[in-house]
Amino acid sequence: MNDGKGNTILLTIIGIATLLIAVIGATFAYFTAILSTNEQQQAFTVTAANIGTVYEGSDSVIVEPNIWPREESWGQKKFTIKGTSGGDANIYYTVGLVVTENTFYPGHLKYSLTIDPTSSSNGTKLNAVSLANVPATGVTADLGTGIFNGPTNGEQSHIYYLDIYFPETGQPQNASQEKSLLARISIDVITSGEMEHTTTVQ
Amino acid sequence: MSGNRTNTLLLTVIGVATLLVAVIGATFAYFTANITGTEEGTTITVGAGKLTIAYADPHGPSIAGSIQPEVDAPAIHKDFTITGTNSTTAVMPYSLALVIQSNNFSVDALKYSLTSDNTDGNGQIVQSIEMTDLGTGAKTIELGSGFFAGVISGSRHTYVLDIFFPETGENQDVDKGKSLAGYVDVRVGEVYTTTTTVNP
Repeated sequence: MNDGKGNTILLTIIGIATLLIAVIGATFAYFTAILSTNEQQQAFTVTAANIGTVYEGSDSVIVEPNIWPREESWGQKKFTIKGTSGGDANIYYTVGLVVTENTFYPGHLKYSLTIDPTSSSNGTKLNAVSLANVPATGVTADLGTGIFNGPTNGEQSHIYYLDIYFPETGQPQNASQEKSLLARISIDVITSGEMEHTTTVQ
Repeated sequence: MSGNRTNTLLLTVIGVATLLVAVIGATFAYFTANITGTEEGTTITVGAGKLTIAYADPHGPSIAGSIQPEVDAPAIHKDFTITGTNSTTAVMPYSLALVIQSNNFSVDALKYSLTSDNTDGNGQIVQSIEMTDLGTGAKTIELGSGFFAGVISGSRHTYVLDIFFPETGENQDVDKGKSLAGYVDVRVGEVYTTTTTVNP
């Protein structure tokens, strides 16, 4: 009986300790760890490589309250995705056009995606899109996946332009009078690959 | 005894599971990439404009009735208004036509005129037409084109169409019992910007 109780307590302690290690250990695993010893022993410096992604484009807005069918674009939004990978890890990003509201007649509104030629040559950029239908309310148009190849040797930029069109069809388009579109850009990022550590032995 | 064994087993399972979570969780934490600056609110707001052209005539667009030769007075007098509303900067063109569905009057019997007024001073009205022979038979007579320009609300172009059966001073019994039927047709054209040259 007493042995059983002792085992129970022991296992309880082990379980709690393991849980604590999982929480604390996971947090510290992502950041740098520095291990040093006394002067008579060799010092080791271990640094985790830097990795991050920045989206710039929230300040670029399209606001056009009274459009009508025409050939020219009704507005252009510029957005930039910047990637930094200090190791071999690649950065994958997926971009979407999130439509919160679209009451235009189906197929009347179009969008195009173009790539700025001054973008970095690192990795793979999104494919250009020409006059695709803006999707319906609640639907996200998948603009594709881009890649930054690690190591990026500093910050690299992929620059894009999104244009909104209301092209003439040659037929009356009055069904779209007084209709509206509300949308934004979404981006998701994942990384893959091994991370190299730089080690300095003194 | 069996209760203690159950507790032992349970705690063992919990301990192993927690350990697995620690290992797997630490692995995934290592490959996570942060992204900053993403959009949360709407950054694309587009709205379509409202463009309308309305025809108003208290007697309707048709032209009909019994007429007789008159001196200096129209046999048929027709007032109508074209009203434009536009929330965009586009140009709204339209055209007017006199559609004669039937007319068996003699060829020189009837005449028409159009008097135009840009009531609210917007755009361009169909030009006035001085008394002109209507001829005979069914036909469509293009009266001309006008347009509304820019942002407007209830802007008016008013017109008066008169059909004359002038008294000639000679015997006009040849036209006794003859009839005329027709209507005013308003056609709207494709809107365009001021930099586009399109014939409405």
